[in-house]
Amino acid sequence: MRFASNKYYTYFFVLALLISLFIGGCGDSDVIEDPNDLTSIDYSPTSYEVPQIDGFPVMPVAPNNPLTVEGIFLGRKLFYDPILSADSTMSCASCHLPELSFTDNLATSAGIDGIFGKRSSMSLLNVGYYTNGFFWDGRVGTLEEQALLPVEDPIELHDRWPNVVMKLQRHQDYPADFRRAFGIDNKSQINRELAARAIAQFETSLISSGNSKYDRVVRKEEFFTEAEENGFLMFFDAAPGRLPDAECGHCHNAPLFTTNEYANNGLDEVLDLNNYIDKGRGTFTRVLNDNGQFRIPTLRNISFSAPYMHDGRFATLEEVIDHYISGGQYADNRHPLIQPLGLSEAQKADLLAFIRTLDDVDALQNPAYQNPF
Amino acid sequence: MKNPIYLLLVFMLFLISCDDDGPNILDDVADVEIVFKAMFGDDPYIVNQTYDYGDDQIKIATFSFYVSDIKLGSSSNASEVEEIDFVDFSGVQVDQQSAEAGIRIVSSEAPIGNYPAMSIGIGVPSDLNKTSPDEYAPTHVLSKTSHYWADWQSYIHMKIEGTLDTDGDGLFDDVSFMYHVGADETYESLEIQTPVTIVKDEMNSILVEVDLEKLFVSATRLDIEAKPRLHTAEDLTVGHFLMDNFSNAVRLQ
Repeated sequence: MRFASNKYYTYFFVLALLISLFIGGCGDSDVIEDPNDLTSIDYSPTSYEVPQIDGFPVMPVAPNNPLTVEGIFLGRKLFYDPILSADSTMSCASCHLPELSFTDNLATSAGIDGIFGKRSSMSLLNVGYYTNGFFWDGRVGTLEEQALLPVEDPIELHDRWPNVVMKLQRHQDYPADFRRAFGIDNKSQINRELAARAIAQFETSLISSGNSKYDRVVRKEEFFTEAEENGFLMFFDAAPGRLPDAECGHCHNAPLFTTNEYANNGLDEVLDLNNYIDKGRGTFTRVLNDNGQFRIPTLRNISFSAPYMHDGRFATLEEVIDHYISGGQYADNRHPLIQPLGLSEAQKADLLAFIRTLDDVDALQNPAYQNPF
Repeated sequence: MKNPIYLLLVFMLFLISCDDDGPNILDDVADVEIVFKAMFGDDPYIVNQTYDYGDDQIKIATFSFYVSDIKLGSSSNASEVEEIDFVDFSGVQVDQQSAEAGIRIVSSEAPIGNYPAMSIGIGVPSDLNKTSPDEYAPTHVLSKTSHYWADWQSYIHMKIEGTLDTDGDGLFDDVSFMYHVGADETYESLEIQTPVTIVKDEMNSILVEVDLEKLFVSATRLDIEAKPRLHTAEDLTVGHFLMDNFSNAVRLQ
C-alpha cells in the first residue's frame, strides 16, 4: 500500500511536471512580440504654439491637425526625405529650398522623370496663414490636401501613396516617429493622411522671423532710408499728390504682403478668355472670368524667390516692376488696377529699395527649418 | 374671490395693448437667412459682363462691401441678426445662374413676429473700425487685408472696380476705375421700411437686392471718366455720393 501510494505519488509528480512544462512552453510562444506593435513607445505629444509675430494675425490651426513638436519633427523629416519619390531622388525640398524662401530658382521645376511642369515653385513662407486655397490656382483648400498631391503627380515625385506608405511602414525610424506624433498603435496604421498632416504641420511652422527691416521699422526700432521711405509711400499710396500710387498694396497688403486673392495681372494679351495657354484659377473653378487668374504671392522674401510670376517669365524684380509700370497686356478680365503707373526710373529704384526691406534672412536661416538629415 | 380674476384679466389686456404699439415679436425664435443679390438695373449683375453706362459701356470686376448691425424692427425696438459680415460678389455672381441665386450671407436666428422694417449698416461701424485685421483670426471677416488700408486707419467699407469702353471698339481699355470707400464718415446706416415676417419652424429667407446702377446714378450720373479713382480718406466726395446712393439702391424682396 505504501509502495503503491509512493508509486502513484511519483506518477502524479511527473505528470504535473510535464503539464507545467507544456504550459510553460505555450507561454513562451505567447510572448513573441508583434513586430508591428508600437505601443511600447511613449506617446505624449507636446503642443506647439506658433510664435506670435508683431502685427501678424493669429495663426489658424486645423482643428483635426493640432500642431505638436513631434508632428512638426516628423513633417520636417518627410519634407526633406526623398523616400516620398518613386526613385528616392527628390523630396519636397528639392523644389522648396529654405535658402530660396522655399522656392528653387527655376522658372518651372522638373520632377523625377525630368519633365518640367508649367508653373513655378511657390514660396512656403507663412503658408499657414493662408485661408483661400493653395497652389497657383487655389485648387485645394487646406495644407493637408496640398501635401497629398505632389507625391503622385507624374511631373513631380511620381510615386504612388500605397508604395510610399509601405516604405514608411518598413522604415527603421518612421514608425516610431508616427507613433510619437499621432499615437498610432501599429505600423499598419501609417497612412497617407497622417503623412500629409505631418508635412502640413511642418509647413505651418514656416513663418517670418518678424525681423525684416520692414518689421523693425514698423516696431520703430529702425528707420527707412530716404529711398525706402519713398518706396513705402508709393507702395501703400501714402503720399497722394506728392508721389504716385504704385498700386502694390492693394494686392500685397501688410502684414503678409498678399491678400490671398487671385487676379489677372495682365501678363498676356488675350482677346478671348478661352485662349489662355494656362487658364490658372479657371482650370479649377471652370469660370470663364477666372481664366488667366493666379494666386497673388507674398512679397516677403521676394528677393530670394526669382524668377517671378506663375511661369517664372521674369528673371528679376526690375523686370517685374517694369511690367507693372507698363500696365500689362490687355485681357477682358485684366484687373482694373493693372494700368500704366508713370513711375520714373528713380521712383522705380525707390520702390525696389522698399521691397527689399521685406528680406528676412533670419527666417531663411532658422535652424528649425533646415534639412534634418 | 372674483376680484383677483378680474384684476388678472385687466392686467393681461394691458399687456396685449402694449404689444400693439411696437413690433409684434414673440419669444420663440426661427431660422433666418439673408441673401444678397447684386443687380444692374433690372438684370442680375454678373462679374465683368457688359452693361450700358450712359453713352459708354461698363464692366464691373469687383463689387464688395461690409454689412453690419443687421436688425429686424425699427431702430428703437430691434432684434439684431448679425453684427458684421462681408458681401463679395466678385467670385460668386459669375454667370446667369449664380447671379440669380445671389449670396447667402447670414444664417442666424430671430424672434418670430412681424417687423415693420429692417436696418442694415453698409461698412464697418466706428467701434469696429478702430480695430485692424491683425487682431482677428484669418477666418474672420475683419481679417481681410484686402479691405483695410493702414494709412487711413480704416477698413474699406466698399469696393467697386471696373473698366469702361468709351470709344465703342469693344475693348475695355479706355478707363479703369476704382472706388475704395473708407473712413467713419462714409459709413451708411439704412432703415428699409419694408415689413418682414419671421415664421416659426421655417427657414425665413430675406432677399436684399442691391442695384449697382443706382449707386452710380441718382439725380446725376457719376462721371467715371472724370473721376475714375477714389483711394483717399481726405476727399470723400465720390465716396459720399456712392454710399449715400445705397439708400435708393437697396430693396427687400
